[in-house]
Amino acid sequence: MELSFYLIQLLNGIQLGFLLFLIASGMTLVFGIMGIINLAHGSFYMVGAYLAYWVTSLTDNLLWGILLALPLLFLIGFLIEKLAISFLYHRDHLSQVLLTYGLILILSSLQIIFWGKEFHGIDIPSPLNGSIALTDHQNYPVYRLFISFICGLTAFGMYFVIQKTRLGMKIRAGSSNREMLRILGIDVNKLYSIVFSVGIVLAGFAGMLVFPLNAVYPGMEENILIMSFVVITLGGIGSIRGAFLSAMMIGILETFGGVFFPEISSFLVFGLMALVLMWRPQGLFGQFR
Amino acid sequence: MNDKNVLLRVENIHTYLGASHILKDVSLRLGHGETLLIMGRNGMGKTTLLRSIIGLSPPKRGKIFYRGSEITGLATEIIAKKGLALIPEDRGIFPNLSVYENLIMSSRPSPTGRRDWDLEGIYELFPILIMRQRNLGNQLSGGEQRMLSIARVLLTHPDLILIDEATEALAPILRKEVALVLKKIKDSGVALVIVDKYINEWMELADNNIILSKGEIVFQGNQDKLLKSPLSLQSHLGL
Ligand SMILES: Nc1ncnc2c1ncn2[C@@H]1O[C@H](COP(=O)(O)OP(=O)(O)OP(=O)(O)O)[C@@H](O)[C@H]1O
Ligand SMILES: [Mg+2]
Repeated sequence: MELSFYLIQLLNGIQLGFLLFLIASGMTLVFGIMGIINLAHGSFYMVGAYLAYWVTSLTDNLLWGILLALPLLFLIGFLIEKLAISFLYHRDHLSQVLLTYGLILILSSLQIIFWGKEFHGIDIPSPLNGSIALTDHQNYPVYRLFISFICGLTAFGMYFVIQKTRLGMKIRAGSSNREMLRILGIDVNKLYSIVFSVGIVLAGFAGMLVFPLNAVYPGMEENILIMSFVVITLGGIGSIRGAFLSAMMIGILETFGGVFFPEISSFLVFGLMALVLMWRPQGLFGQFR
Repeated sequence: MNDKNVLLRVENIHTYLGASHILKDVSLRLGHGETLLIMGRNGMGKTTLLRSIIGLSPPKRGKIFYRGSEITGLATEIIAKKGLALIPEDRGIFPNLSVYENLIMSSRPSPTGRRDWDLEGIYELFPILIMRQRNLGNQLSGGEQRMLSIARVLLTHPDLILIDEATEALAPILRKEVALVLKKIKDSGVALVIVDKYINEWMELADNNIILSKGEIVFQGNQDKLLKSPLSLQSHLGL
C-alpha cells in the first residue's frame, strides 16, 4: 500500500482523537474537580449534533446552526447542573451513576420524540465541501481537515484558559481543596456550574462539527459514550494533558485497527487501556488522592 | 468601645461539631485595626471559633456581626468577600499551583475598593517568595508556606485576618519573622485575630487577649491583666 494511504489513516485518526478530546476533556474535569461521574456526558455529543442540525435546517446555514446551537447547549448544561447534578455533590458515586444513566435514557428518548428514527444529513457548504489531492489518485476531504483545525484551536483555547487565566487557576485549585477556595471568597458552586456547562458545550461542539460528515441518527453517541470513558481512564482522571494524549492514542489506534484488524479493532482499544492500567493504575497523568 | 468602632462582634455563640457542644456562650468584640490574641490548650475550641466566624462551622445559637451587619449563617465565600480572611492551620496552599498562581488566583480589591497591595509590595514584604515564584505549592517548606498563606490573603485586601496557629512548628527565627510581618500588617490598619501557643511573640502586638478552655472564655483582658493573673496563665496555658 502507498504511503499516502497511511497518511490518510493518520489524518483520520488525529481527527477522531481531537473529537474524543473535546468530549473527554469536559468529562475528566467534571470528574476530577467536582467528583461527579457523568455517564451522560457523551450524550451531549448527540444533543449538540441534533441541535446544530435543527438550527441549520431552520436557517439554511451551517455556520448559524452551530453559532446558535452553542449558547443553547450552554443553557441546557446550566439547567441540568442546577436542577439535577448539583444535588449529587454530597452523594455517593452510585447515586451519580443512577441519575446520569437516567439522563442518557431521557436524552435519547427526547431525541426520538423530536426528530424520529431517520438519518438526517445536510450538504457541506462550499468551500468546505471540496477535497485536496494527496497523490494522483488519492484525495482527502477539506471538511475533515477543517474539523481537525477547529478542534486544534479549541484545544489550544482550553489549554490557555486552564493554564494561564485566573479562572483556570481556580478550576485547578478546586481539584485539591474546595474549602480553601471558599475561604478565599470564591463561589465554588458558580465555578462548578461553569465547568459543567462548558464541558457540555465542548462535547456538543464535537457533535456539531461531525454531523455534516456523518448525518445525525439514533444511537450516534453510543460508541462515543464508551470511548470517552476509555480516554479519561487511560489519561488519568482530572488531567487535561492526559486526556489529550490518550484521545490521540485511541483515535489513531481505533482508526488503524479498523482498517487493518477490523475484527478485533475495539479489542485493541480496551487492550491498550488494560495494559496501561496494569502499569499505571491511576492512568497516564492521573494522581492518587 | 462604641458600636461604630466595632469591626467584629460575636454574641453568645454556641457551636456544635456533630453532637458535641464545642463553643459555649462565646462573646467578643474587636475594633477596627485591633489585634486579638486567642490562647488555650489543645482541643479547647480555638480553631472552631475561627471557623464559626468565617461560616465554615456556623453557630447553632448566638449571632456574629461584621461592620454592624449580621453574618451568622452566611456562606463562607460571602463572608470572605465582605473583607474577612482566614489562614487555616494547614495553610491551604494549593499544591498543584505555582507560588505565583497561589498568590494571584484570588487577588482582588477590598469591598471598599482599597488596593494597597500589589505583587511588588508583596515580594518586598516576603522576599523569600521571589525565588520561589515558579515552584509548585507542594515544593515549599513550612516557613515558606506560612509566608505564602499570609501574602495570599493580603492580596484579597481584607480588613480582618484570622490566623490559626500563627507560628506553630516554626523555628524561633521564623517565628520572629512572622511576628514582624504581622506587625507591619497591623500597622497598615488591618485587624488581626491570632491563635497561637507561643504567646511571647505577641505580647507587644495584641491589644486584647482571650483564653479559651473547653469552649468557654475563661479570661479576657489586656497584657497587664494577663500578667497579673498568673493563675490563668498557669492553669490554662501551662506556663
Ligand atoms: N468533627 C468533630 N466532631 C466532634 N468533635 C470535634 C470534631 N472536630 C473537633 N472536635 C473537637 O472539638 C474540640 C475543639 O477543637 P478545635 O480544633 O477547635 O480545638 P483547638 O483549640 O483549635 O485545638 P488545637 O490547639 O489542637 O488546634 C476538640 O476537643 C476536638 O476534639
Ligand atoms: Mg486548632
